Amino acid sequence: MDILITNNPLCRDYFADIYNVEFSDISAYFILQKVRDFVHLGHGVLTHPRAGGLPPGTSPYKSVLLTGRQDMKNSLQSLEIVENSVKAYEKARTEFSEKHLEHFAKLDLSLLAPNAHKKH
Amino acid sequence: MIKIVHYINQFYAGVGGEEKADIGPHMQEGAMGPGAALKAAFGGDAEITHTIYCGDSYYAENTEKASAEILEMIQKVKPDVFIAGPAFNAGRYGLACGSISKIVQEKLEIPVVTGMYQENPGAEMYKDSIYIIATKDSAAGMRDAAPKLAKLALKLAKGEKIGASIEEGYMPGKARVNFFEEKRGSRRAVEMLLAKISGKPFVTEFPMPDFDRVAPAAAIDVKTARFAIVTSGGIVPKGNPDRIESSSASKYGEYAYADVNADPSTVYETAHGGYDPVYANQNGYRVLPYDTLLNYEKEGKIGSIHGKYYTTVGNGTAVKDSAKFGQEIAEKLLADGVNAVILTST
Amino acid sequence: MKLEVGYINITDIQFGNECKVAGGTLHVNQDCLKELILSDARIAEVSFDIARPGESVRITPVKDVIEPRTKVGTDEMGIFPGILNKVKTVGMGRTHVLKGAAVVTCGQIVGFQEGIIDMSGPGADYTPFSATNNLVVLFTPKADIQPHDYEQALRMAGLKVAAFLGDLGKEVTPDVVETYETLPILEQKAKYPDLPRIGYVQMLQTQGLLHDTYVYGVDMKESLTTMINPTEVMDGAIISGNCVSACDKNTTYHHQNNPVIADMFEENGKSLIFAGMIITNENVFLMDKERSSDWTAKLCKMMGFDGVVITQEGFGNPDTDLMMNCKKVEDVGVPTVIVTDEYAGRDGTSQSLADVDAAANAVVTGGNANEVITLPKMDKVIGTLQYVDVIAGGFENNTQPDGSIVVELQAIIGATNELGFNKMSAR
Repeated sequence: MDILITNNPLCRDYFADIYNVEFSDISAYFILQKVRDFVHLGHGVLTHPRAGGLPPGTSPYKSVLLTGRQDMKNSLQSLEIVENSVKAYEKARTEFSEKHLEHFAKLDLSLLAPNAHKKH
Repeated sequence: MIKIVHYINQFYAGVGGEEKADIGPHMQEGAMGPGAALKAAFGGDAEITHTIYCGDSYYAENTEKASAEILEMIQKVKPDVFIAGPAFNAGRYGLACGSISKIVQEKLEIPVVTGMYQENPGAEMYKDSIYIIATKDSAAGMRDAAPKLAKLALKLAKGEKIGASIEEGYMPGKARVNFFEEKRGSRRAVEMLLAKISGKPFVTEFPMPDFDRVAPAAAIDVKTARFAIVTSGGIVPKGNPDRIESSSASKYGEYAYADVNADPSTVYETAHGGYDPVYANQNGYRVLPYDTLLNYEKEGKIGSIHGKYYTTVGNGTAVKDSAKFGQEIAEKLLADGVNAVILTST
Repeated sequence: MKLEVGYINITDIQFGNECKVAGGTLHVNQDCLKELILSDARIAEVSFDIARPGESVRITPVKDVIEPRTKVGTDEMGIFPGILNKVKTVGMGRTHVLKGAAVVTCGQIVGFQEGIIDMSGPGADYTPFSATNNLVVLFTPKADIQPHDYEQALRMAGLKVAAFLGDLGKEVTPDVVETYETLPILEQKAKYPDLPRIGYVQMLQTQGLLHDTYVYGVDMKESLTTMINPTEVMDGAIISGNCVSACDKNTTYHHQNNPVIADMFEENGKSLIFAGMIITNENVFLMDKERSSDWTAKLCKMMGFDGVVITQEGFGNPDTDLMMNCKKVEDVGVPTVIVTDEYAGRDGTSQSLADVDAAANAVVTGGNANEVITLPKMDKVIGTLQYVDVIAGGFENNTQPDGSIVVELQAIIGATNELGFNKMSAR
């Protein structure tokens, strides 16, 4: 089963039966660090950690899908992508607006499940 | 009136040539040497109140001490801008201009600007940190460089917005700055593509970071391989017979190993400047691991050792020169049947 | 495929009793438009305003900009095929354009992805829509509507208004008529044997809900990389359905007036043959990225292009698609120039792109989107300033005591456009 690393409760609930969900209530930056740890263990990145067209620090939510298999130890692509993402978030100012938390959470979910909105 | 302190080397101060390169920093009131051209370029808007000059070797070999002395001098004068050089294509001078400018900018928070030729090793090393006006490769470029240096210095002193590198004449690297081109992006793209496919020169608007990556060669069997050591750590036979420079090396050396039973401090030394050489001078094998390699040979871990090693100094040496050295050394090693090389630096 | 485009110059928009184009002025009866829009039950209220070049006006939050166009002398083809009109191949026959007029849709959808248009002052230099006469459509959605429903309602309403206004130009004699033609491959080569065959690869934003682009009504993220005739794009075959950062989203207007298409047609038969156009997507899953870029390279090779321009939309993970496309196309032996923009931080010292590759040795940039600009207070605001702190490129407490606002260029519609629409660059 593929692994979803997320801090978004909507993703945790939506994907509970589909993926092996690793939920933690930590910042987007720490989610990316966690993703990096998994990549070093040989999991491959399935979704781009910078999906969504939002500047780093804009949204509090971050969800990244990884392979369940650990046979990607030699994949520099995953490592490069995650390292570049971590770097981008290092400098990011976190200025997300409390007013829009719900929108941010839904958008984050929509990136992984484009048709999620049709199911309710 | 905007106050400027100008930094130059012993040559331009009229103190002397290479034989005076080891003099320490001095400060004098008013403009000296190339300061005259800058003065003219400033019109009446700024004044070079003091000139600091320092020997290039002194700065290179005692960077920490020299920069501290210079900082102290500048602090007394409190200029609005610090200008160094221009150094044109003089390697050690360029490195000194870059180094002291960066230190002044960071420690004193005074705006700085320097100038040099694009292939000066100081350019590669410092263009990401400070404004470096691109100049010609010799002092004949002073006439071109002075107005650009002066204009940028005045803008910095007044706290005005600094334009893009292409507008101001500084080397790209320090920061990306927006400006308006004459043609829209799509038109520029079509023209760039037509130039690219017909082999004509074109300039990319965003140079990719340097990717000088070398694909790993096929694995070898170390048990049969013939090994050589090549170092940019400057280990030379005691006395530095070929006078390899302590920075911006213009050559490399080819030497036989000394007797491994001799006290290393009596047979080797390092020619490398810019770092604390005490441990390398005590025991050259710390940089040139011939002793270890010999043991490996005895233990049968490796095939054999080539009798000669190659050495140069990496300190500020231009990439272009290093590449040339590397190519020549590789050809010689191949001709001598070497198929494994250990590369070491400082 | 050959398209004749008649440009009707519009120099003013006026509200009145009639809907018509006369003497370069577009007359609009608001009631007609209201009826058109409120037929969609998801929209509670709608109002209109006009913003002209040079006026002290700020429009925000802007979602999309659309140019009024219409097909002339045909009942078969219609503008925005597959979305507003039947899914009939366009890009042929004749099209009329109300040049100088634009429909600007305004409404807060997700709170942080809409933009600003200033009609005068320093901000006006950065958006092309300070130079158009804009009919601004302001929406109020029904309560409790979901953002994606609202986005769709707003998207459709904008297209309806633009098509309605475009139709007013059906019978008007254009000021200028241009002809654009792409010949079949063999005829191209026969006609211009010595010119290089140049292609255009357009990457479309398709990261998912609220980040989508539609081609003949197809959600492009569900499509394989494919080919399209450039003249089809002029007839509204590609429309924007996304809410990404304002500076580098391609509005529907940008698609209708794609500058790469325009400049390649300009050179067609002179220095190059504009041999064809590929459209590809920017999906979230890496497998999709690999597949789409593989197909881009494959199609470039199959078409025998001698070189291609690749344009991007958005930033961040699309940089990965851009580099994959560039590298793979170069690897099949087709030289590339890429058009992108930069996020180098407010001081310009951060890494500009999220992904880089040595193959990208010919780059055109639309500038650094993080550069900060102060937009002075305007006499009139169309829409609301309520969101200028939360839009991408805005920041907390960015409204100054004198009423000016401080934003990154990111917040300005079209500021760092990656089709190469603008003159701005960076070094």
